[in-house]
Amino acid sequence: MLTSFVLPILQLAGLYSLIALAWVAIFQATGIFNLSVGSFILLGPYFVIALINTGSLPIATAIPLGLLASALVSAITYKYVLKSLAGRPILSPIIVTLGLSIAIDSLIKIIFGTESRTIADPGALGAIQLGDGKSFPIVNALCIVGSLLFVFSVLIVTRFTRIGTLMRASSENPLRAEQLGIDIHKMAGLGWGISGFSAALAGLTYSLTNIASTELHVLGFTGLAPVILGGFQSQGGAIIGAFSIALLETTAVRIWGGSVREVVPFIALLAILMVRPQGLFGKPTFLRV
Amino acid sequence: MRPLTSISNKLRAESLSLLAITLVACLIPVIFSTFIVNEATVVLIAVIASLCLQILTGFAGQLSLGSAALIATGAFTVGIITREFQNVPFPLLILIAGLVGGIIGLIVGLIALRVRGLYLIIATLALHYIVIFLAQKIQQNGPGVIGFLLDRPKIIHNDVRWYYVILAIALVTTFITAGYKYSSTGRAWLMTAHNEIVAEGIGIDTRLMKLQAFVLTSFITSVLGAMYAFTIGVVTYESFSLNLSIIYISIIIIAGLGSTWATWLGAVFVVWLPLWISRILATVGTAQNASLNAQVGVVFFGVAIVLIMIFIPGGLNSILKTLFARVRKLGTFAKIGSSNTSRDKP
Repeated sequence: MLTSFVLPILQLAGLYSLIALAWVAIFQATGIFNLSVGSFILLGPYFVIALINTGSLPIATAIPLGLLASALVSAITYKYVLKSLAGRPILSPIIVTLGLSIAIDSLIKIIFGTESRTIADPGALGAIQLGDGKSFPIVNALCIVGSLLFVFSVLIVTRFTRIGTLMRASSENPLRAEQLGIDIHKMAGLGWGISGFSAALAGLTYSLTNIASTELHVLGFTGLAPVILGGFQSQGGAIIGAFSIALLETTAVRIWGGSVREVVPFIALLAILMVRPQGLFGKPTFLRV
Repeated sequence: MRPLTSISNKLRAESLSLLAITLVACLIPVIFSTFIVNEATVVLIAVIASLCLQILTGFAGQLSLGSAALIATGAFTVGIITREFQNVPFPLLILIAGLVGGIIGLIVGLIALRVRGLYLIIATLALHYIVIFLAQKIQQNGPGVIGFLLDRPKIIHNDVRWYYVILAIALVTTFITAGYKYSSTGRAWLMTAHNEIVAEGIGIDTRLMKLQAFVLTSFITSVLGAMYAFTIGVVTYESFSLNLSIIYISIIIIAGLGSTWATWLGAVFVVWLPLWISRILATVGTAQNASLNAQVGVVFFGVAIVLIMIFIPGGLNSILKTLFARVRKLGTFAKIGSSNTSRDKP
């Protein structure tokens, strides 16, 4: 029960909360629906692979460096590309992020090729022996701990610290925040950085426990289900959404087999949109004349 | 009477541009080899799909990532029918594919009555993955990895003839799009896209308008899917990735939302230019690997989208419009100048 049900749910929930955070952080900071989340998921594992292969760094230093590099790329993308689109109709930034996503994906394919790779042997750190005679790889356990730790610390930082308050203020009311002397573009860049880090970490945890390939891109869209369930504006909601979707997906896989894995989040997504489009914790949107 | 004349002016400009495009398109098989003609067929398919998106997004304001799923619907309908029943006449096949697509369109339209904007994009995204999942299941239970095999009817089996068939469909779709643009339906769509509450206020049934847009475009896109299936001759679910929908959205954005004939230029720019770039790269010999060259073309395309969105938000259409306006201005200045000189004469 523990190894076959609870731990996979935790692992999936960790992955989904990271991806959901990547969507929500950008949406909160800049109101942009960033379709390049899938590509930022790829950046994490491939930066780490590049650092290990060409920089010949040990994996323990390559991972934090790779994640920071992804965060930096994300923040730079905001500063030099998306910032100039402020005030345009909603389709424009969406299309720009689409273009970015296409370019990043192809660049990765040019540099690294399309075949899948492994970063490190998943069994390298050994496994924990559990009571029921089964074992669980330590890498997976570390990934669960790492992803949940990151997501909850971001949640706590945005709730309770000064910088978090500044970020929330500038996303709640950009004009007033700017009048009060908050550098809203800095805050937005920070949001993009958090999103880039989160997406890269998601890609990395997946690649460490499975394989790294350019197909990981689709995870970005799968991760939309928890975002929609939690409500687009709520970080806490996204985490609750991640656990719910992980539970749902794992249960569905147990009942109908592994082939439904990819489609369950999307069916859930459509169902949520039909029943409660604003999600559990989102504010409903109104039409104005 | 002013609006009417301006509309007739616009219609004239539109017809002239279409005539020019038709001439160029008809000449392609005469000038180029069959290899290039086959590429041109793929470009035409992109033109038709993008024109449907122009109606849906450019006119009616409904954002959709569902094109690839609808094309898959048409293709799989044709594939399944030809596998299960022998000797179904070709036009009937295409019609059935269109009707199935229309029904899917009605379902998406009903969803669009509930969710708007961003949420509609997400809903169509989810629908895409669900449709492709079903297609995958159907394929696994039917022909397996090989996919559904299709053969064109004998009269239009030739690649060049097939090109003209697709060209005819593309032209008809363009006329439909242009016709709707200046009709009462088209204006009702524009109003629905612009402001739903005001549209309701002036007596437009926005729900009906949305459903109409979805059913019409889904019908055409699904017919297109059937034609696409016959173009490549084999239907597998892998052919219909989300990238297809993304490419079509990029085309209408690059061409300019709500434009008709500029969509042709957009399709050439997005679909054909990367192919030419990779071909040029191959002849220059910078890289030996063919797939690598193709990827370089794709990077170019991605960067081009970003740059166009930032620097030319109106797309190719707006560039051409200002160009035409400038030419016309020059013309009127010349006229005024000549009349002035005649008046100045003693």
